[in-house]
Amino acid sequence: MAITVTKSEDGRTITIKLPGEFDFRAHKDFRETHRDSDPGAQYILDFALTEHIDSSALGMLLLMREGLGNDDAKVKIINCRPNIKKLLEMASFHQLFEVA
Amino acid sequence: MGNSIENDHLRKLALVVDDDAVNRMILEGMLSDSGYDVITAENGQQAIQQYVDHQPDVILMDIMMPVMDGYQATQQIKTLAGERFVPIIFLTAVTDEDELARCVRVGGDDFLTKPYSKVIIMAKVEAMTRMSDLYATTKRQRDEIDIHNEQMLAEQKVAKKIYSRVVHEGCLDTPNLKYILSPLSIFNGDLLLAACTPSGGLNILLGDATGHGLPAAIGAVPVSDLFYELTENGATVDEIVLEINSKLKNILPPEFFFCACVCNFSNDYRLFTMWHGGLPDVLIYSAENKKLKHVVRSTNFPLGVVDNVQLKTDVHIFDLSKGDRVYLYSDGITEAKNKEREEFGEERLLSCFEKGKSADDLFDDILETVNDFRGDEEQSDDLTLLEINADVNVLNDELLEKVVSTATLPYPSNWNMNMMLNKRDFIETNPVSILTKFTTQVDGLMQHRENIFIVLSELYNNALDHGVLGLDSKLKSEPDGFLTYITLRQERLTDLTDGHIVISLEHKMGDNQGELIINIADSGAGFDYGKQTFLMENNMDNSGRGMPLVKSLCKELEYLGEGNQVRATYQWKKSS
Repeated sequence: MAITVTKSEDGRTITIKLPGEFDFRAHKDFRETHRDSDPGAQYILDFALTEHIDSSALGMLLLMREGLGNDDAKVKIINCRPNIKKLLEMASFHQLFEVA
Repeated sequence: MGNSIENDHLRKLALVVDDDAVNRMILEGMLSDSGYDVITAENGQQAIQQYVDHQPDVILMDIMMPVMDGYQATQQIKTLAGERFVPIIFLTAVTDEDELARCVRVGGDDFLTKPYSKVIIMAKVEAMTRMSDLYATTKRQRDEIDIHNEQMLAEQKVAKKIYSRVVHEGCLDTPNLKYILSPLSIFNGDLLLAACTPSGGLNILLGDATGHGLPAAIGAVPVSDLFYELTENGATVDEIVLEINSKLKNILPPEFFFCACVCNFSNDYRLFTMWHGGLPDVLIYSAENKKLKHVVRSTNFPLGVVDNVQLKTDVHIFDLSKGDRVYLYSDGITEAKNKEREEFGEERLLSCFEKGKSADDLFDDILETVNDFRGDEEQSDDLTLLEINADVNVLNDELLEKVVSTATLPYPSNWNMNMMLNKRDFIETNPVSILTKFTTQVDGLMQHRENIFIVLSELYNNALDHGVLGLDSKLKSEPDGFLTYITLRQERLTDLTDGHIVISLEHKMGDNQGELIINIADSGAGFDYGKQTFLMENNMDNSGRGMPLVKSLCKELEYLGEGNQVRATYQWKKSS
């Protein structure tokens, strides 16, 4: 399953839809989605399809955030299944990302 | 020439096998014109010999020959060639399908039928040669990879030996701990450390690094070093957490972090203090009631994610009853998968605790349940589970010696020193560990480190809590008392305007014994120590478990002045 990226009309909002298994294998593809990143843009990570994430995936989120300026990064995580949301909360990631 | 496995001639070598001399000549001519060296054979047996002697790159093989036919020769040559690809093209006048099928069965790669066309012959021969070259290249590359792999594996094994000296087990083999560490590969991404504190308690660190294998394990080296050193110096849980976090934040790249649990058990195992960042829920089981007492969720960032300013060092503190069990584990347990790719999950784990099992059986039961669930499915992550039994003070001399590794340097044996501390010091420093370390540098005093730590710790904390901050220890014995006490302590410390503590130490050395005199004076109002002493001697006080212990360790213990000054004399003999 691949990662899909959609840009809003004005290009200011970028939605990245993650696959069912978001783990270390997705590293390269995920990096590509925000490689030429616009730090001012709003990024939305859609976890609707995601059933499993591993610690490398959490690491990728941290890396993305760092690339966008850490506290200046605007990254929202949406449509998390309960188990994924719990994992994010256990690592206190809801304090680093907006988790809806 | 000779018997080299790979024929390195730039000109390829062809072998023509045919009992008819004219045929041999025609084929030899065609091949020669096209740049091939050619050798010949009259029958199957000669063909085999030619192969053994010259290792041709391609063979044109007639079928019907005296002595040995083409089929047999082909079979034998193919067997002799082994992993080397030597193409054999059959020369046949036959168009019978069964015969052709037999050609293929014995190992033939193609056929040529009469009348021979030079174009067709050369096309087939060239094609076969190309394939053979490809085959040889692939085999060589595969062999190189194999050697490389073996080398890497050997290097990793050596690295592991070195690694194990630094990231060692510490106190993991104490009788009240049960654990399983099942790494996925040579290097474990999970880290489990246990060390005895100077006051006879136990510090434990369980960590799970991002990923697994060598990259995950390498972070364990500085973490172990810090953990053991800080524990030896009597550092508290939050101090250890901050040091390790700072280190990891510095050395790890942004996408790597370390989920961890750092905890301390007091020396009587009645108090459990824990910092929890990112690991699965910690479980506390009541031995008496045979069910779960607490389920503790992570409330902090994992280590190495944010800097010390952002990191919360909230610790949980629990009262434990004798025999209670505390369970720490990494997600290898909850994420263990079965054949249907289902995860073991938290619910199944919690159900192990709802069977009303005796605390002694729980550890094995949990492991059995996980293994049954997983079935034949292979492990997909490092697996770690630890059970601590809140019973038995297992600190003994053997263990203490194992942990205490710093050598003592020659040091003045008669000395005194004074230290004055005020509000900022109360908040920012831990004089007890500094003083203990300093004091036990004297040769021979190292074995008494635990006792000295207890005495200094108890007297200093009393001076601070009761003397300067005016807290009443009765608070601690109420329900939820510890939490109330700690909250109040924090408030008073923050609001403190003035107040100080003076610590004076004096050490005198005799022939084979020494005397350490500890004097602690605080700026508080003092207390009625006459009455207090009476209560203490009759076990009627609730000043905590500490003071009677201190009194039993010291040669002399007395209060002076208004009760805001205490003097303890610790006598010690050099062990032979």
